[in-house]
Amino acid sequence: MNNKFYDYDAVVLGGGLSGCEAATTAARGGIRTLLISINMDSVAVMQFGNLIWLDRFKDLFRVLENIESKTPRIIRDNTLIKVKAKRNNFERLKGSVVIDKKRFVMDMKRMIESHTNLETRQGLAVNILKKKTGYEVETSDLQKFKARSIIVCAGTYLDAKINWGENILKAGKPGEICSSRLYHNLKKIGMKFEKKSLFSAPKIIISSTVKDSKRSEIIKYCKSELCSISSKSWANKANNTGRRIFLVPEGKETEEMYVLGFENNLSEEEQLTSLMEIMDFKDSYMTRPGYEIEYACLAPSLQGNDLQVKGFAGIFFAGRVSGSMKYEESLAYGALAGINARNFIKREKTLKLSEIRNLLGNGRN
Amino acid sequence: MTNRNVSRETKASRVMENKGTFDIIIIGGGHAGCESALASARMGLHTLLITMNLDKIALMPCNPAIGGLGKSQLVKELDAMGGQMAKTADRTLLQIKILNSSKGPAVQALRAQIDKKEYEIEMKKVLEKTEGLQIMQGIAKKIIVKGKKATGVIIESGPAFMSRAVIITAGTFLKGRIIIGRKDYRAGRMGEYPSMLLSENLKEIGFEINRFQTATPPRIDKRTIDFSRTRIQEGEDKELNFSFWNNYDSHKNIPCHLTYTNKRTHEVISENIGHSPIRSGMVDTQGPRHCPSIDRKVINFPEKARHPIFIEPEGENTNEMYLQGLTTSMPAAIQQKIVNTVEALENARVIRPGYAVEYDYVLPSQLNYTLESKGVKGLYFAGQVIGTSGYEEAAVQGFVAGVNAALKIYKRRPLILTRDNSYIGVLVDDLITKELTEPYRMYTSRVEYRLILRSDNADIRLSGTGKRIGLVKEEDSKKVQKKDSDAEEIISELRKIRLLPTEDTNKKLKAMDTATLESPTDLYDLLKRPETSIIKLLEMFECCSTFRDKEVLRQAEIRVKYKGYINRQIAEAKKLSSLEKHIIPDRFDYYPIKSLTYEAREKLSKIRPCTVGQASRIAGVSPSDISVLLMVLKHRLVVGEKNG
Repeated sequence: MNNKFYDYDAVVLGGGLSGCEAATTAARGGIRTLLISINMDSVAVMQFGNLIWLDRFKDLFRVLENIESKTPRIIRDNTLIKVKAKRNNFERLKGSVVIDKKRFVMDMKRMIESHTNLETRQGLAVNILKKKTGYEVETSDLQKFKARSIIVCAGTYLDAKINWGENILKAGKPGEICSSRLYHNLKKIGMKFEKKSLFSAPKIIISSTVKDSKRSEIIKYCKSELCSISSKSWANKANNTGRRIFLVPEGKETEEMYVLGFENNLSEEEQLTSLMEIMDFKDSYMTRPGYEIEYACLAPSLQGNDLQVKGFAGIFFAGRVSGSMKYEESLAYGALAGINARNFIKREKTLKLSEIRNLLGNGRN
Repeated sequence: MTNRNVSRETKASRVMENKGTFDIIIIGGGHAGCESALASARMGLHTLLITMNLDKIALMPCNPAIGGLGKSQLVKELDAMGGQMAKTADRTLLQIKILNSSKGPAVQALRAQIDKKEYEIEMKKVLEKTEGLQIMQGIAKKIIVKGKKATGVIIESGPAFMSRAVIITAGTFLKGRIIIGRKDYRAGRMGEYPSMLLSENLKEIGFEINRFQTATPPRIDKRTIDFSRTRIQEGEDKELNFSFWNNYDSHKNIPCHLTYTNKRTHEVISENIGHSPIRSGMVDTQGPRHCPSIDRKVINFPEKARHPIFIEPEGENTNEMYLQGLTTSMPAAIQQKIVNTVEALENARVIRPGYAVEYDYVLPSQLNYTLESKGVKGLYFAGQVIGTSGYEEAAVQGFVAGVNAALKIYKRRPLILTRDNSYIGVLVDDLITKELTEPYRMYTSRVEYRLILRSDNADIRLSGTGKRIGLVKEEDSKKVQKKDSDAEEIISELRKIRLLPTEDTNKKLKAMDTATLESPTDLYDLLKRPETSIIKLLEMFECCSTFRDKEVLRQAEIRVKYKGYINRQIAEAKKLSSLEKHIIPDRFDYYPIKSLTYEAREKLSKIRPCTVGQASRIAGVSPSDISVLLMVLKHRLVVGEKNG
C-alpha cells in the first residue's frame, strides 16, 4: 500500500471558508495537508448571503495577503458589486462587496486543488482516534488517514438540524447530509459542545414574465447598486418594521437573489405572505425558503486561546464550529488554525487568538 | 392579535392560491426534469420545477460527456424538435469528435467532453430565464391524486402545489442507497439526501416498483498522473455542433488520455474480489450490463489481458479527472490500490472514491406512449426513475413527457414517436413494451431502421413535428424543408448530367481513383460508386455550382449512395406500420382467447399494448399469437359492425 496517501502532517475536516483557509495556510507553512469534504462540489459555498466586508476588515485581508493567502484575490476577482454608501440606504452594508457565489466556489476549488502540499479527498469524517504519534481520522468509507494535527472546520454540519415552519431536516445545508457520527464520537472522547443557531434568508427570482418597465428598473438597480427598493410601499414597510431589506444578486449567471435582512424560520406560506407584505410579490417568486440551522460548536470552556482544544494537543477548531459568526471571522480563524497546526508540528510557539481578534475588532466598529 | 392572525392566515391562503397553482409540476432538476420543464414552459404553460437542491441543476454525476453511439442520435432528434440539451452541450464542451468516421453514416456519432460545472451553470441560467417557468427548492413527498387523476404535489416542508399534470423525474433519488465496499448509506448522490417518502407514496397509489443499481468510477488528482505515458486522445480539429440551430463557434480541443489496465490490476482485483459489493452481497440488484464495473469485467473476461481506461477532464477549472472504464465500488483503499497498478497512474491519488448507488424505479410497462401512467391520468414519468441510464436517454424522455403533458392540457393530438421515425420512438416503445432486466441504454443495434434514422437527417425527420408542437420556429422549419428539397434537386440534376467516355472525362476519373467510362454514364451513377464523393465530382465536372451548402451535398450523397438499402428499410418500415394500425381496444380481455398461449395471455394482460405492432414486440408473444390476435380483432370488428 502506498502510505503517502494515508499519512499527512495535517488533516482538515471540512471544505467551507475556514477549512479552505486553514488547509492552504498550513500547506504554505510547508506541511503536507489533506482536506476532507463531504462533497467536493460544495466547497467554499457561502450559506448565508454573499457579502464580504472587504473594507471594514481591511486589516484582516492585509494580513491574509501577507501570509500569501489567495483568498482576498479571489474575493476581488469575483466581486459583483462594491457597495458604496452614497445614500443612507446602504449604510448597513457600507464597505462590503457582493460576491458571485458560483464563480467564487469554482475559483476556490481550483485554488485548493492546485495548491502545493495540499491534497483533497471526498469523504465524510466519522471519527478521530488517538494514536501514539498523533491521530487518525476515519471516514465513512472506512478509510483511515494519519495526521499529526487535525483542524476541524465542520462549519454548521456537526449534528445539524434545519427547520422552517414545522419542517425539520437533519442536514448541514438543505439537500445535503449532516455529520452526526463525528459529533457523537468527539463527545465520546471527552469534547463538549453547545448548540448555536443561525438564520438564513429566502432567495427569490423576479419573474421574467414581467416585462414592464418596472422589472427592467429593478434589474438595472440591482446590477448597479445592489439594492432593489424600487417600490415605495416596500421601503415604507421595511422602515415600519425597523429593518431594511436588500435584494442581493447571487451571481452574474443566475437570476436568484438573496433577501438580505429577512433571515427567518417561518413556514413557507408565512415567508411568502411576508414577502408580499414588504414588496409587490406579483413580480417574483421564492426559489428557496429561509431557515434556521441549529448546529453544535465547541464549548468555549474547551477552546484554547490558540484555537487548540484543551486537553487535545494538536486538534484545532476553526470557523463556525468554533463559534465564529461571520465569513471574515471564519477566514481569520481558519488562517490562524492553519498557522498553529504548522507551528504545533514544527514544535514552534502557537499564536494567540487575541492577535487575530484585534484585527476583527477593527471591523466590528 | 387574533385579528392579525386571521388576516395573516387568509392572506397566506390567498398567496398559496395565487402562487400555488400551476399547469404542470416537475419533480427533479436533472436532465429529464430540465427538458420537461423547458418544453412545458415554452409551450406557454405555467410550470413549476421542484428540486432538492437548486445548486445541483443538470448535474452530471458520472461521465463528463454527452453523445456517443446511439446517444448522439437522441441528442440530435431532441434538438430537431426544439429540446435544449444540444445547445447547452455546444456551449460548454471541452472537445468534440466523430465516432465511427470511417464507417457508414448510419452508425456515425458525435461525442463531446463537457465541462460539468459550466453545463450546470448554463442550464440553470436557461431555466431561470424561461418565461412561465418557476424553479423551487423542495422535497416532494406526495402526489395528490383525485379520482385517478394527478392534481398536485405536497412537499416535505408543508406546502401543496396544485397542477393539471405532474411529471416525476427523480433520477436515482427514490430511496437511494450508496455502497462503497462493505459500507452503505442512504443518499441520492454522494453527500446528498435521498427521497424516502415519495416512493412509498407511489406504492400506495398502486405503482409497481423495483430496484436497480448503477455505479461510477473514482476521480483522481490531475497533478498525480504521468501523462507522458498515456496516449493523447484529441477531439476533431474543426468546429462541430450537436445543434442544428444555433451554431456556437468557440472551439475547444482539450485532450483526454488513454491508458490500460494490466495483469497486476487484474490480480489486485481478483485478490480482493470478496470485497466487491457484487460478490459480498452488498448489492444484489441489476446494474447496467453495457457499462460493467472493472470487478465484473475481470470476473467475466478472464482471458482479456487489458482493458482501456480513458482519463477525462471533469472541467477546465478543476484538477479532478474521470477514469472511464474503471468503475468500481470496492472499498476505498482497494480502489486506490487498483488505480495505482495502472500504467501512468502509479502515483495517482483518488480524490473521490467510486461508488454504487441502488434506487427504486417505477416499472415503465405501467406507462403508455406519451409516458403518462396508465393508472393515474396526468401523472408522467421520465428518466432514470423509470429504469433508464444515461443523460441523453433521460433528456429525451423528459421532453416527450413534458410535451405530452402540455399537449394534453391544450387538448391537442399527442406526440407519439414511432420505431420508424426516431431513436426516441424506439426507446419509448422498448421501455413500455419489453421487460427491463437492467437499466435501459440506447444502442444503434436496438434500431431496426437505422439507415433511415440517421443523425444527419434528424432535422429533416423531426423539425416538422417540432414546429407542430410549437417548439421549432416557422423559419427554422422552412430552412430544413429547403435543405430537403435542395438535396432532391441536386439528385435530379445529377441524373441529367451525362458524361461521354471522352479522354478528358476519363482523365478526370482516373485522378479520382475510379474506373474509366466505356459508355455514356450520368453523374448519378458515378456517385453510386463507393470511392467517389459528391464534392469531388461536382468540382471536377464543374456543375451544380448553386448548391454549395455542405449539409445539403452530404444529404444528396447519402441518399444516392445508400438508395437501395434505404428503400428496403422504408419498405420494411411500411410493413411494420401496417401491424401498428391494428389498434387493440382499451380494456381488451385476453384470457378468454384460448388459442393464445398462456404466457402470451399473461404478458399481454400485464403490458396492455396499444397496437398489434406493440404486442408483437413483447417477449413471450410469438408470431402465431400475433396471427391469432389479428384474427380475433378482425372478427370482433365484423361482429361489432353487425351488432352496431
